[in-house]
Amino acid sequence: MRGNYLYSCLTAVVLLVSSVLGATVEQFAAEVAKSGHNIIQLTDSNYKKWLGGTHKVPRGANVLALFTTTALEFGCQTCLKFEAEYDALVQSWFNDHPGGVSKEDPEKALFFVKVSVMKPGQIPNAFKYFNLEHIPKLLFFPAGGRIDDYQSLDLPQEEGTMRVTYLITALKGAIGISDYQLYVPTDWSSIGVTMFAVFALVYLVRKHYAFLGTLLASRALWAVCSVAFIILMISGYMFNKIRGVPLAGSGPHGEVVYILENEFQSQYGIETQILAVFYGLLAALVVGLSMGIPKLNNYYQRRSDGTFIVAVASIVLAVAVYMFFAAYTNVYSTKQGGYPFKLFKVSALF
Amino acid sequence: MSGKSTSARTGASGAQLQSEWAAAVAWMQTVLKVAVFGSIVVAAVSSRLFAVVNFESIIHEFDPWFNYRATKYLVENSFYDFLNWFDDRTWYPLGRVTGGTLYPGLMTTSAAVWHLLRRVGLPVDIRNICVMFAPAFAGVTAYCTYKLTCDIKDSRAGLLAAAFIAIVPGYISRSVAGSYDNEAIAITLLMLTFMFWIKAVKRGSILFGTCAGLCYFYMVSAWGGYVFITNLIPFHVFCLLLMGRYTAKLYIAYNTWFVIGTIASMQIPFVGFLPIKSNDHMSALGIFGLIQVFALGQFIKQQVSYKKFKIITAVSLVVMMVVGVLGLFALTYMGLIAPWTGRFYSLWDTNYARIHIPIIASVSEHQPVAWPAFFFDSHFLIWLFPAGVFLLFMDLKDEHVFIIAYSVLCSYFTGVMVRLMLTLTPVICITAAVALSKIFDIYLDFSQILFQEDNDDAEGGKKNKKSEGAKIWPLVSKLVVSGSFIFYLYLFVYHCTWVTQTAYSSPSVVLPSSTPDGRTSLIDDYREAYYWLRMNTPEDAKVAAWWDYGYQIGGMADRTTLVDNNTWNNTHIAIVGKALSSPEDRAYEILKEHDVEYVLVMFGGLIGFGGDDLNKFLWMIRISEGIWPEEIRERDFFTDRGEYRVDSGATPTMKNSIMYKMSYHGFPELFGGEAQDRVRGQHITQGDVGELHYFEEAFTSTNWMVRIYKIRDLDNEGRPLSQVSAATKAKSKRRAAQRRPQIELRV
Amino acid sequence: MLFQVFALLASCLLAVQGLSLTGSRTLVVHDDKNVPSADYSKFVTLLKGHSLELSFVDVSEEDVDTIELFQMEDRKYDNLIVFPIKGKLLNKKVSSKALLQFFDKGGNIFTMTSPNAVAEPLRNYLNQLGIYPSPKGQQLVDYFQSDSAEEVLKVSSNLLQNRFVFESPDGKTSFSFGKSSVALLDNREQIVPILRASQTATINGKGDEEPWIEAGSQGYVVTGFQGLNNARTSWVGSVDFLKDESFNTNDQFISELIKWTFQEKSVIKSTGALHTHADGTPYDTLKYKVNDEVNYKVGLSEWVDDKWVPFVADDVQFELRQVDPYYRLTMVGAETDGEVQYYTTGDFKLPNRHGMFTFLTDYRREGLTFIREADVRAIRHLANDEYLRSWAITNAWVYMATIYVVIVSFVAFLIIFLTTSSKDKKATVTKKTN
Repeated sequence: MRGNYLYSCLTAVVLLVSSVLGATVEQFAAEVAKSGHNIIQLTDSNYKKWLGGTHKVPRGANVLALFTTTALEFGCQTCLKFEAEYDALVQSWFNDHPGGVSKEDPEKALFFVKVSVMKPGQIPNAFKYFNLEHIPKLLFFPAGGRIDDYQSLDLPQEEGTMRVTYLITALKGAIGISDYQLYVPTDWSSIGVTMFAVFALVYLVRKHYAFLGTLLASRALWAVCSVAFIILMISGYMFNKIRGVPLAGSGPHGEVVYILENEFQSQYGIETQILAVFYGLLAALVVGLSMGIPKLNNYYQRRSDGTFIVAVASIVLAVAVYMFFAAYTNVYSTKQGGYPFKLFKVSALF
Repeated sequence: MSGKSTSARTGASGAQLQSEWAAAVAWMQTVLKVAVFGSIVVAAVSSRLFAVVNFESIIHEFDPWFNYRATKYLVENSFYDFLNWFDDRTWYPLGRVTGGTLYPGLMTTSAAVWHLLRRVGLPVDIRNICVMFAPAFAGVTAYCTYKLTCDIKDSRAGLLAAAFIAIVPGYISRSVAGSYDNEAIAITLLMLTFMFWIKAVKRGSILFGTCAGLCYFYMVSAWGGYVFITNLIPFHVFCLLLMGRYTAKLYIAYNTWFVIGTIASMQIPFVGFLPIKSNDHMSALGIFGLIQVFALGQFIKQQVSYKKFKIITAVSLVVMMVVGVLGLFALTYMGLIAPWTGRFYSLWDTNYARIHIPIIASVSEHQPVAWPAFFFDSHFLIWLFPAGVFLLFMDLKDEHVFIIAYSVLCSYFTGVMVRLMLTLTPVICITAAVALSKIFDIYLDFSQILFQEDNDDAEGGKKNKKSEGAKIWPLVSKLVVSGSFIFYLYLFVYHCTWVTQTAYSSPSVVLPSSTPDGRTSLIDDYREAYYWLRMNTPEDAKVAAWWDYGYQIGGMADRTTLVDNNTWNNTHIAIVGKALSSPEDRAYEILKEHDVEYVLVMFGGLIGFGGDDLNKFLWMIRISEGIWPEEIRERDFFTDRGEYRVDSGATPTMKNSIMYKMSYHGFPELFGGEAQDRVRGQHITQGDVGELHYFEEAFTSTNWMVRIYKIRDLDNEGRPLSQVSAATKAKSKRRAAQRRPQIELRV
Repeated sequence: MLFQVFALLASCLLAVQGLSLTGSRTLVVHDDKNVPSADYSKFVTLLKGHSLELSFVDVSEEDVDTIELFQMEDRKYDNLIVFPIKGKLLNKKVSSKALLQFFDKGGNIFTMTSPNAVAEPLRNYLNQLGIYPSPKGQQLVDYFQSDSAEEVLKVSSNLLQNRFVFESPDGKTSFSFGKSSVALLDNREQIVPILRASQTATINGKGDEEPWIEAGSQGYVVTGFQGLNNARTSWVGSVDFLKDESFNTNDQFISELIKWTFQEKSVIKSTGALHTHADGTPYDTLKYKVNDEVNYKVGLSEWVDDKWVPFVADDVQFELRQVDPYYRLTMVGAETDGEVQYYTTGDFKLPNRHGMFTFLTDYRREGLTFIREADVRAIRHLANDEYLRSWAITNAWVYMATIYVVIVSFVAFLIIFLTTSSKDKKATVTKKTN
């Protein structure tokens, strides 16, 4: 109890002082021990303490800072992917060096900090301080410097273990140590899930062998699947995948924008979904017109008002085709300004 | 359809009348068909002539210039010389074994046309043949598509498909007059091969199989995209085998096609042994093996009991799988079969190219497609396309499986690589024609209504009230549905014409623009500059420029180039990239080493032309970084905040690179010290642009788009050139002369 | 004027000793107040002996303003001799830029400085060439020779650097230099060092200045320079070197130096290079392909006195380059025809690599004219029918035999199958029962 009290007192004093002075290795180690993940989470109040330093008391250790966000509103895929990789990077270091100090050269220590944006409106001060516009961003603060002595680390293009390996190499070079090894944590959950899935799959196949056979031989299923695949492809799915475009953008006033206007050669992710719906509906309507209506005709042949029903149905389908096509051309004309052949919107009548 | 219903009604007494009627209808149909075809061909050719009408009869873009040059060589020399052509005017100093590294189909075809016309007594300039080549072949494509679609559905769909392919912008994009490229002939051959293949599969005919093989050979000789056929036909066969549709017809068709096609394709020097070595061709070879196994299986099945057959099948399947997989690994491991080529990788693993092969990633044709391009290139056919595929599933004959396989595979490839839009377009036309003709079959068929009318007259006015409705409603619905689709067709024609006119008819050698007062004017800087090169430089002068302009310099200026659009040697391209991104003294060393006398750069900053070298500069850096990572670093060209700046905020590495200096040399002075780059929207001041010591401006075109620099000679006195101009400028400095010079000791 | 006429007459009268290849119009710029011309009569006589058309300009005379080296774009003179001139006298009359231009246009320049007279334009000019003469007031002395700076400095002839300029017949004479400045030299290949200062020499100058050289072996007292255009400049550190009283030791050296500078000796030329197939077929008739045997020949002549004679050397090399050299062959002398000595590589095999190759002779020796003969030619690949044919390769016989066996057996199979197939039907039926 007493120790705890003393400790918190000490921390308070340190905090007071350290808003001016740089943190020492011991302070880093203590903070790291306190935080569960070996990563120091920076806030508006403490970022100058951990990243800073003055002439008299410079920063005691090398610090790698990650500026990122896990908030889904931003749709930052790279941030989310890099989250786990950054963890692997950190744990690999502390696995060998629990105190954060290099074994080769006790003078050299390395600690990790992270600044996260939690909500769109609340950008941490650290972002403004370092003038950051893109995330994720890695800044490396070498030991012995002040807050403005840092260098930007490039985030490699590759993903996964490759990226961590590259970063480790970069860090080794920047600090000048060689005892930094990558430990890939064995992902038991993944193995478990895979094994279970395989087992379940084999079991299901074994049990419903006959059903699976009919399913595989089902013409309709194949037809729907291949048409769905084609629709995905022609609505720019591969573009999203290769370019990694965001799902949607934001306008000048922070509102959500779904369609990237006047950009003929680019698009947002959500456009693919909009377009897929259009294509799907139009294709379904055409199929309906060419196959459904004759069937309907056969079905109602005996009834007196049959011809009327069939006629109305086909006219409704044709009008629906027109409406969707009109909507489609209007969406298109936002992509290509000045497109002269857009159809008249039916909804404009009302 | 109408004939059938009529015969049912009139009975035997009208047999005479009926046969006359049928003959008249058949005759009418033929006349109509010919007329329709005539107009399709006229439409196909004339819509491709915008470029000639608006500009002039000129070869377009980049690759066509090489094809044109090669054709001229073929016409001037013998075929033997052409086949063994060693081109000493490109890729200096490596040279290019051009005869062995090109697809000769296009050139030989147009040379044959040229010779034929001369024989007939119509000596036509080879350039005009080259310019008009693509439109002429578009007409042939329309016919092949018609025949192919006839085999898929019927002649009604065929005519629609032919009309579509004739004017669809996706195909026009690569076949306007002057676009003398491999694709111009390749699509025709693609359709021809598929047509024969479908016929062969349907009829099990050796003749058609052979024709398919020969067309395949022609295709191989014309375009690298033949690999698509090489994989599509086996895929079709594989699907049929999986569906349990093995027949002797299939066996005959595939074997004839494969054996003849493969052996013939190996006669093309550029292809050589690829069909049995490269993994791209393995599927065809594998299916060839598989179909033999199937044939054997069928034979055994006839010979032995079902039980034994099952055991034999199971055992042999396992053995074959193991042997096959092991064999493939072993052969690849031993290097006997080539690794998958880079371009192929970029189709499957979409990130592969971006990371490993910047030269592929840099080509705009290899970029993925955003959705507007599909609509732009095929208008309403794009939503008829999935519907058509679905409708084909309902019949699912062997040939329908082919079209479905084609659609699925090709839509994926097109999504990854924009240039394959060209191969997707025909299948879009075919499936859309199938869907549309199904609709028209129902809604444009008024025979039932007419027939009912007759019937009503016969039966009297008893049901008149009911039949009134029964008559009117179908008529109205049919008119509405078919009317709306005819309206779409009408719109389609307008769309196609508009797209062709605005987007695909610019030769890109001459650029249209409008003057401030609204008149259109032509920007003819390219030709101006190339003509300057041709007239003012020694005939054996070597010109260094980024590879995009290699073919044009070779074709229009007739000067030796270091690299060109045939990007066969990445390192050599990287050398040019390195020179352009290096500071002057380094660049001078590299360029002198390669005997370069002139450097040509494109600069769009004055008129706002976005496709200039500074915008391509990052690719040059990336490509050379791939070879010399320790000398050229992309990072150094970006500011600390990761921006690509060219104004005062540009990095020193950027400002020192000769690309920067050459682009902006004298540019700020033009506007009195500070000028705006209209492409990048940044202000360039006089202080940003360093002086050029090793190069002197030789020529700048009217709109500053092309700038040519001459490399200075070595200094007579052996001083570094950067000191020469300093020495001539500086007044004699007494003080400096009194001090001991800082020189290395003489050894 | 009279002086000039006399000089012209004298030169005509004297027997032809040597003839400059580049022309004989020579301008002598001197400053009579600083260097009285009377002390250099022997030198002038020597010049006249070289059949040079001499014109003299005395810059100390008031009426001389700018010295025009050019008439419009062309040189008025072929050679220029500049005596040491004091102070700013030369500044106004001829600029360093004009001197450079004169040199770049092919004019030869013979210059002297002395420790008490280093004209600024001249220094600037020499600095541009990479020759840095010591500044005014710094004098080269050798205390191992004598204790006094006033003594005559002697430099031994075994410090001569270049045999193409002058090779002392015995190697034991020493040249008298009097008061001499010294030059530091750059590392350029155009510089032709001629005479080095002795190792024991050092600088005697004002105390506060940094001495020009730290060790004698760094400095040079006579040096030449040959531009890429083969124009020559030479510089002598001491004007006393040319004085009449020094002539008994120096005359030969001076004469040879003048000859070298004004292109009367050590001038060579190439009469052209020729390469053909080994059997003599020229490239234009039959282009080269990989692995062809070819032959390269170059002819070299040397200007001796007043005519071209064969140039004999054993270090003429040929290079076959494609960025880097693929071959570097030392050529051997072949036939000679009185004027030209031909060198040949003999027959050699082209590399097994196609491309554009430069057939190059780049003969650069310090003191001799630079020679560069380059010809870029394509070496093509083998045509499709120039490889070994299949029947000529014994290994291929197996495969060819296989092909024909397959064809024959297929035909045989067909015949047998067609003629016997009806009998097999029964056998099929019997098999089916098991």
